[in-house]
Amino acid sequence: MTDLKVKIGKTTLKTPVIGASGCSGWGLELSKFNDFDRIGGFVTKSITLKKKIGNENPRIREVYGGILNSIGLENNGVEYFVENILPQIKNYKCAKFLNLAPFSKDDLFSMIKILDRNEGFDGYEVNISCPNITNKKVNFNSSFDDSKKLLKGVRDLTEKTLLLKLSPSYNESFKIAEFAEKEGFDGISFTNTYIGTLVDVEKREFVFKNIQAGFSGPAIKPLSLFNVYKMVKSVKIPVIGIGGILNLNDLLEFLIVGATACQIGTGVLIKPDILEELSRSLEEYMKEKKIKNIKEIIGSIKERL
Amino acid sequence: MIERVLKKIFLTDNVFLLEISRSNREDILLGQFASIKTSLKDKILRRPFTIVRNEKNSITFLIKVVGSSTESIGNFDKGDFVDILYPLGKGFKENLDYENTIFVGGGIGIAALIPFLRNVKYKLIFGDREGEYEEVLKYFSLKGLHCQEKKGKFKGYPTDFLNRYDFDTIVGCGPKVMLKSLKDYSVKNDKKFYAVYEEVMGCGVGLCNGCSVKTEDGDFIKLCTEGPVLDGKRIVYD
Ligand SMILES: Cc1cc2nc3c(=O)[nH]c(=O)nc-3n(C[C@H](O)[C@H](O)[C@H](O)COP(=O)(O)OP(=O)(O)OC[C@H]3O[C@@H](n4cnc5c(N)ncnc54)[C@H](O)[C@@H]3O)c2cc1C
Ligand SMILES: Cc1cc2nc3c(=O)[nH]c(=O)nc-3n(C[C@H](O)[C@H](O)[C@H](O)COP(=O)(O)O)c2cc1C
Ligand code: FES
Repeated sequence: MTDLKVKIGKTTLKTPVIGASGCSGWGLELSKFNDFDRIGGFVTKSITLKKKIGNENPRIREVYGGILNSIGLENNGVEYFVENILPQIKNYKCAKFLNLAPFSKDDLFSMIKILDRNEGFDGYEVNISCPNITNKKVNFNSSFDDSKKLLKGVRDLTEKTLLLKLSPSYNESFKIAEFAEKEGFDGISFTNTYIGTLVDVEKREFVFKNIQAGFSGPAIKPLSLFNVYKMVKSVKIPVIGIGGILNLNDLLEFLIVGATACQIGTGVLIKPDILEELSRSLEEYMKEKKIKNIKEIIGSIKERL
Repeated sequence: MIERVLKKIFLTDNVFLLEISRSNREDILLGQFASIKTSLKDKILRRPFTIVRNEKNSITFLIKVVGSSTESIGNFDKGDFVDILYPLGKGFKENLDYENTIFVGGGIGIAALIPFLRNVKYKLIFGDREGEYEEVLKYFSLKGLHCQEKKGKFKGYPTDFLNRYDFDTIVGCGPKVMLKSLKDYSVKNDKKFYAVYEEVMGCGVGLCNGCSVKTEDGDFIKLCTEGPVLDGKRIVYD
């Protein structure tokens, strides 16, 4: 038997392949393209306490090697999620993580309290790294102190698996991850998009209304791979590697440098069935190489010192 | 899904017809589209195109070359493989009273109207800025008022000719400025207005909220799953 299972917190993933937040919708559309019995899981779009209207267009532009997005956390709020979406996804057979985007500590605590009364999902991915939030007060990831204040005590609110999603655009992320580990978080999702921008030369204007946007896709893979490698050295809890994964080779690279599992974002937009395809091709690869357990791959990088 | 090119013909210098095999048996509704992935290294996202014809064993697109993906699709040859997802979008299910409906197309926007104009009697105004769509109209046997911006028998914008017809409903597809003036007209004259809308898409299947369209009530709707045919009076065209 080839064993692809990995464990993060209390959650066992059937394969280390997860759909990333913002690129997996609520899982509903994804279920039409992937057999959820054969993938690790997915992370929902970001949920905010109250309904949040998204950003003005343009929201997506393709650039060389990837895409810039400025979606702006569009969602109907936590109550709507509990009433209208959770009932539709709760029986899905893969792991389901709810991505939470707080604007304050109160926000975060209220959301978890409301959600934690319900069943039908595996855990939370606390997202303090949205590239489309320009208000300094809620840009927790840019400040170690603000992040500490926000995350302190979250563990006491829930028994479910707790992940923290961090940005590669701030050096603070490594210190914040160490703090989260001490606080009892079960894993670090790394990396979110890189903050970038785009100029319309004709108009001499920024293309995005917020100026900045999140850069993702194949061009970020070498950057995220190195960041994930550094993160694996910084914390002992599992690191979920994210950034530009489009094929089996990309996935293996992240696992080899020590990611316990991986998330796919842009890859899902291009190929909505990629989660099942990568899970299958990983299994085939292991069979071919006579690797019995995925643990033989994770962190197997040979370092020449 | 992988399909194969059956036929490709350039009808004008930069507008071509692409017919490919159809292995997907799902019903294809009016207004639905497909998204095609090219093998270009500098374009990773799929590109959306209206399904203008669907037969038992084939589907057809009418595509204008505007950038590198459309150029690369234009280079497909008979027998080539096509990486494609279809049918996408919410089909148009309302009952149209063709007697009282006017179709208004601008430029390549005509592609989205073609599926509506098959085997029925219809009224059509087609705006063709440069007068380059003659062959397209001929190929699809489209009949209607064919106007051009600066020359020809009917000189002007499509909206200049609306008052020649009786109708209570408009179905329009074309540049945003045209749709905007159709909205203004419909609001002023109390007409129903369906816009077949376009927006840059991320996934085309409802995963990313990249294709959101702003509405009058300050909200957004996802074009790829709620459209592309929308209530044209609800849209904010900016
Ligand atoms: C639902 C839907 C149906 C469509 N149906 C057709 C069709 O039947 N025939 C056809 O020729 N085109 C259609 N389009 C437009 C087509 O998708 C774009 O022309 C194409 O994506 C351009 O790709 P490119 O790489 O060649 O150009 P790019 O290099 O990406 O862009 C070139 C220019 O086209 C504009 N553009 C890019 N994407 C879009 C878009 N989605 N909508 C409008 N403008 C865009 C860009 O802003 C730029 O100015 C449709 C679009 C949508 C959303
Ligand atoms: C269109 C789009 C929307 C995204 N929305 C979110 C979001 O709401 N919350 C979040 O934590 N990450 C979001 N992300 C970031 C992805 O989850 C992922 O971290 C990032 O895109 C890098 O991975 P990739 O290169 O595989 O896309 C979004 C990414 C894209 C492309
Ligand atoms: S294009 Fe992704 S949701 Fe519409």
